[in-house]
Amino acid sequence: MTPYGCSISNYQVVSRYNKPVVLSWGPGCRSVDVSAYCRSKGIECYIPDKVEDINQIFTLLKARKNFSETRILFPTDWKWPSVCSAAGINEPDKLREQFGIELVTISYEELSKEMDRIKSDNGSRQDAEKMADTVYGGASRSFIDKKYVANSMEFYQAVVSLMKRHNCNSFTIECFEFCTSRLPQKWNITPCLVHTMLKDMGIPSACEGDLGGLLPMHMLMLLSNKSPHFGNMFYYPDQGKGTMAVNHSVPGIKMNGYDKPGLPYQLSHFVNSGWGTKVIVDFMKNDVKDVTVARMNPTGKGILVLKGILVDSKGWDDETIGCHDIAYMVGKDSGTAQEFVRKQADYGNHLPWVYGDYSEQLVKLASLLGIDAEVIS
Amino acid sequence: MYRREFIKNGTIATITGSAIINGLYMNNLFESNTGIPLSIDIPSPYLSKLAVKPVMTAMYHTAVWEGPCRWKGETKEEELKAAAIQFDSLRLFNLQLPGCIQV
Repeated sequence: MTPYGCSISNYQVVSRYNKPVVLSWGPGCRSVDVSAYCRSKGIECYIPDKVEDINQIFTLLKARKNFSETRILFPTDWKWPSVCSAAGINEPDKLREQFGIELVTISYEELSKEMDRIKSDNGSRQDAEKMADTVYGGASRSFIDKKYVANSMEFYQAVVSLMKRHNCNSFTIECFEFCTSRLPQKWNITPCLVHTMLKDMGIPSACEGDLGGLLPMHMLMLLSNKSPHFGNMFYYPDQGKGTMAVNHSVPGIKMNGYDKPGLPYQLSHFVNSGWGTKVIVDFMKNDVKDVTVARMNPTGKGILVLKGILVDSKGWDDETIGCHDIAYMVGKDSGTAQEFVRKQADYGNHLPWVYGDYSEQLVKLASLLGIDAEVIS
Repeated sequence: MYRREFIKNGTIATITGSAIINGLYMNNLFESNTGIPLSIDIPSPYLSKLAVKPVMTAMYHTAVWEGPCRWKGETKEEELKAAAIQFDSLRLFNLQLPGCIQV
């Protein structure tokens, strides 16, 4: 809104819409008067400082809108707390109340039926093989047989189909529960490649049914327009002043941004028998070393942010099985991750991160969402 | 070999040319440069825009006078002309907004 004239007439125009208002004039006698009055009446009002900042405000408002539209597909027979991510956000009703986010759970029976349908359909199987050709062909090196990549592509098709059926735009699955169902062994897949692919298409997708990792991942994606990595935290006090590792085999390929070329990648296998397609990226083989890491606490009311810098990576040209694509990082200002990992005792384990420093925007978005932010650097 | 080098060598180009599969667009999976992640018919958060209604307020007076709220008495025509100029600049400003904003 471009305000002119007396404050009260501007307020009257604003109050007709009952929407957040941005006073494009910038700070001044009239705009602060209108803003303070609007806010006292419960109407969100923002005053940008300059043209760039109005875009930043719109970006934040858009991110909040998109965040509230999240519908998460979660195949599970156990539900929550997740077996090995107990400190995720475990109260879906509160998520709906607080942010408008919906969690859609489906049974393994439904997942299996969809997978059976894909596997029994010649067209889908052929599609999976062509998709495997593309992804396999794009890899700079592969430690996995292409037939297993095609299996993962069948699983990808099943997941996408179920997301469409349930009108979902986000995905998670519990690795440990899924493992004990023995369905991964039956289908010769792990969820790793699906997470990578979905994130590269702007769909938040997290391991282990961990909503405390999935939601900050979504926030990071919305602010950065980049695909994230996600993983377990390990701490090495004797490496430098204290180095933190983030390790899961779910890097993004489009980690430099959806408008930038993908990073070079390799394919490998998760299990000893040779199946379970996973992607490997060398995080240090990139010009950008600044990173932003985030984690929400189990109540969903706090977010822990690391303004960090990458110091090492591991996994490239390495056939080690299991989760093995590791980013090593420290706080950018302190040179250590010690304070951050100590705080994780309140927040939990899994950490999504993106290249670049988005800590300031993340704090602002958290504030818009009513989340308390702690930034460590 | 990196993907881009691989494409340059031409082998994958023949695969990707026909690999638009059920709307999954695998050929472009890692190569979209549009700034918008590729659509797979899932309502991606990135396809949802922020709807913004630009509102400009302006005021003109029915007569010319001067006083504590009006230190320069302009005619109604002059005030309408000033409002029109201001409106033009608002239109220009709207054009500069990013694509994720729906005006």
